[in-house]
Amino acid sequence: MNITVDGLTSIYHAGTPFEHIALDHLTTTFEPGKYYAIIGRTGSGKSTLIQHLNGLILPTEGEVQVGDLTLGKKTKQRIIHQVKKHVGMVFQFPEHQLFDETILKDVMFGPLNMGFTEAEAQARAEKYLSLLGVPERAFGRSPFDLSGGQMRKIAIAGILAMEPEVLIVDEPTAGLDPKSHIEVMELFKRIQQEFDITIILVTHDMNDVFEYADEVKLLAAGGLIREGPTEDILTDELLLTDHHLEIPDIVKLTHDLERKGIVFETVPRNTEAFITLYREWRDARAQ
Amino acid sequence: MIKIDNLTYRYQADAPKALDDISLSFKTGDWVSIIGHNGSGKSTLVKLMMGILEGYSGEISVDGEVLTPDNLQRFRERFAIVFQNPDNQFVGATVEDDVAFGLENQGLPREVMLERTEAALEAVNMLAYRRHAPARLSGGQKQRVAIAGALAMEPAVLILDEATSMLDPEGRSDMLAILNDIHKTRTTTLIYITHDLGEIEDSDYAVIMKDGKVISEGTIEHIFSDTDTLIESRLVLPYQMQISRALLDGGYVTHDELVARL
Repeated sequence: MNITVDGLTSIYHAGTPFEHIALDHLTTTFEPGKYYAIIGRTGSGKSTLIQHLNGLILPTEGEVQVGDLTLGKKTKQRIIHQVKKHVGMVFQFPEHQLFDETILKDVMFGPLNMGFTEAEAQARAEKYLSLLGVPERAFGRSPFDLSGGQMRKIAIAGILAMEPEVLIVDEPTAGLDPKSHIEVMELFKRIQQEFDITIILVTHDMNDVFEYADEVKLLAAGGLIREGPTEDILTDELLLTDHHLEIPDIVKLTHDLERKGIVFETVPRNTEAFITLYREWRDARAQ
Repeated sequence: MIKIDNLTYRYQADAPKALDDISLSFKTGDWVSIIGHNGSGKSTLVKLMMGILEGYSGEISVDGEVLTPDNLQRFRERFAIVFQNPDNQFVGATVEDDVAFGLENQGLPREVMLERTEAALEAVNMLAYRRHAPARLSGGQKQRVAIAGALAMEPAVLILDEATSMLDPEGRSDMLAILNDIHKTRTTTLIYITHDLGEIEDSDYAVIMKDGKVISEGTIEHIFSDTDTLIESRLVLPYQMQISRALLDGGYVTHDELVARL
């Protein structure tokens, strides 16, 4: 499913003294099956943009095209409802939205809400809980007895059970311990690859962007500053520093080694790849 | 000095030990990091230290004074704590009201209150925001105000309980820089609780906890000299240590040292 954003302008409190232009004539596209990251400092418009992509906010001007559905200034609730079926959203701290008495019922809520029968909803819930490695004996337990990382997984399963074609995730690792952080990030990568769905990640963590995203869109003051392959944008130290973003650890390390004359043929995107490339470089030099 | 001897604690009589025979001592003015996975006992340990939980076995003392039910109130005044969630710790309408709030119960003269409030906001680089509403600040700024509120009380020990875990990287590095400053300019003992091994570079002393026990303690170099233990404790090594482990001798290195040695 293609998403096209065309001349999108979003103004909060229009016509009042608090008027604020959050997005200013932004145009971009999201192609099916790719992993995108939207980056930019706090207040750059990231959160506003993703809320437009599933109809939580409607444009002040311009349009958002989701497949063959169009979101404009006056789009009806019926269309917005359709869009939400295609574009799922995992908010920050999604575990705060858990509410049901059992894990299974919580995950079934989304499909039931979409009009599926009890049996269909249950089948979907079971499928996605298993996918996330939740054992069947835990299905009947209360989600509130779980650790933070596990609760977040259940909340994510609830979104997946609606089988969106596009999944938007907003700061999915905030507040998680490092182990759960890795698990959650690996999960989205797996979902993208196994189900061929589009992932749109909003995060401040440039290490994650560099490791996982195919493409990056950099926002500042409500406008799109740069877009393109992750490797091009996240290795541009000046650009990142200008926008108050961190340089990924591995980029810093690779650049520092280049200054020492150690140059790899490809750019390592994580620690593991770095180690492999360094070993190859060392072996080649030894010969 | 904080001294903990053979501390054991259970939340309920039939529950497993949340802390299992812990003995530790922290020097006055040190920056101590306590690292462990969720449920390892690190928060329980500081709650006991502050006299918030009762019913333990063992002994806790600060500067030679042992914690007893009789001196509990005075004991608690030595400590101040900053929690994880920046949104849950504000009471004042402005930043400076908020920082002064804790002082109001201490019967201090107004000038002293003002002086302390100002000095504390200065220390966290938030004086320019003194008349702002806390709700309008960023997460990192809120946490800095929370630190100011704690500092204004002039505690002997300042505890930070996963205080950076909900901040973005910029907010986190600002906060670590401010703690570094406080560490250099004040004699306050800092106890920094985290599950992130990447945040302990500036500590004088570190304690690794797992399942209610102390697994390892010492200087940063010492902690990182045994990376197997860290991995077994369900912690994630910082990138430079993962690389040191794979390509060098596995000993502790900073980024710059790693670059020099590769």
